[in-house]
Amino acid sequence: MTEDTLTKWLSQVRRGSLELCILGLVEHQENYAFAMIQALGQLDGFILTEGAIYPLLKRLQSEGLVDSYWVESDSGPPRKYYRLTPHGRTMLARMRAEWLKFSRFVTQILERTPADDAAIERSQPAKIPLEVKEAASGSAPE
Amino acid sequence: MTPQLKDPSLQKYLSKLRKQLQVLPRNELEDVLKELESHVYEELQQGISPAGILERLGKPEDYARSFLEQYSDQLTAAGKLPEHARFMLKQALLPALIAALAFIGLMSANTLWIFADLIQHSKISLLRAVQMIGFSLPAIVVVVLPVCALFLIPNYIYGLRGSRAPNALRSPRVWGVTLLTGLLLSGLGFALQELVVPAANRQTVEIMKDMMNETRKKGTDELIFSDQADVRSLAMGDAYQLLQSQNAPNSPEVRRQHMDYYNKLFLPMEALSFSLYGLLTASLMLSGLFQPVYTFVMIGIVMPLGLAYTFYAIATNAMQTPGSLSPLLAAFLPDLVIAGISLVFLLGLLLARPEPAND
Repeated sequence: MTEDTLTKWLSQVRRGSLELCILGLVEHQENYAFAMIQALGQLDGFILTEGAIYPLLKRLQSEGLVDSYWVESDSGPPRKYYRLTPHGRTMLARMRAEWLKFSRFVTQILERTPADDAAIERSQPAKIPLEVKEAASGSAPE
Repeated sequence: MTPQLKDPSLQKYLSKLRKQLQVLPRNELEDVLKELESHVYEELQQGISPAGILERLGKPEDYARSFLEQYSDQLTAAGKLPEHARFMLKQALLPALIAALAFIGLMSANTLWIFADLIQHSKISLLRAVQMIGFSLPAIVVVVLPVCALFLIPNYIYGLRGSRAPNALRSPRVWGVTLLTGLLLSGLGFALQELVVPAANRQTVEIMKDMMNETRKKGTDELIFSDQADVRSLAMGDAYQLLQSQNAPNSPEVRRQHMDYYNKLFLPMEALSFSLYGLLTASLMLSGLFQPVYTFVMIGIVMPLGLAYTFYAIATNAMQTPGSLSPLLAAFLPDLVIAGISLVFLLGLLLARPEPAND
């Protein structure tokens, strides 16, 4: 049950960041989907099914963040390569800034010590909302 | 293609997937399949067995679903109504076709049975029977199509949105709509099969026999084509006009039977089927599953049919009232109306189509 909850949460977190990861993987050079799956597979447990990545790539393409082209191969079927479009590049820059801000914030929350919490409590006039509420309910017409 | 790619299980998977994705535009479909083929090749190169690859891919239906959902969302966002209607028809065509054939079969069997009975008793000639069946065919088709639409909507939604998806299965809303749809459809089917068809059989045969005896007794000409009021072709308000126009050749008994049929069967059944249709549409809309675009398409399909049906009834009446309308025009009036309204509807779709949203 505990393992289940953890797995579920983990897959949600990872699914949420998949789009950003894929844009990151095609930022500096064009890439094909199989190589991206392998690159993502290097993170322990980041098992990505084809059913997730291919539709996502298609969506990114229809939204104009990436474009693709086919490269013929001597030995096997042609490969489809993806690369970032100018629009995708701007979006990635903005997403990266948001992600870094967000991850710093999460880290900050998780690394808080009891002393930090106490300091925050002292700096906030905690009683005020209660008094306001009482006053408001007292004067409210019935 | 390497020999390994020709592995029967892999080829079977690809052809199943192709079938599932048939609704996508051709170039997109080819792209998806080609990319998957390339992926499978890479995995084979890594030494993964075909069975292992298929296990990772999951069922073809599941693999296809997110592509289909994406395509549908894309169409909705771009407001592409003609494409959406096409997509919807493709998704639900087979069940709708089966429903249509079953229903047409049922209705034709009813009509054929009546005429077989009449021919057997030498009441009418074979030629006249063929003529009359031909005339009642549009009525049958017009009745059949809205029923097919009833099958089409839920099939489209649950086929596309995947009632097997865990989230959808857990949602009481989806269950509610599914149950309601099923109840309404089976109720309508039951009513049509158990009530209307046998009753219409009996009533029509009785009325026709009566009319023929009437003309025979009076020693007038053989029963003419326009005297044959197929009571199933009457719509709201037409029975009154028919009875007024037909007081000469028909006995009070026949008139009573017409009125009886109209009051006891036709009127309640038409009201019932329309309210069921409305209820179904409303419940789907309330459920949030039914997007405005589908509603619009459905109304676009049903309205012309309803109108055409009414005009068909008027035309039938006109043919029974000599001199009121040219029989030739009357016979083609319903077709002209369907053609005209469809044209207007399609034109509206083409003109009102917004440009695809760019970002």
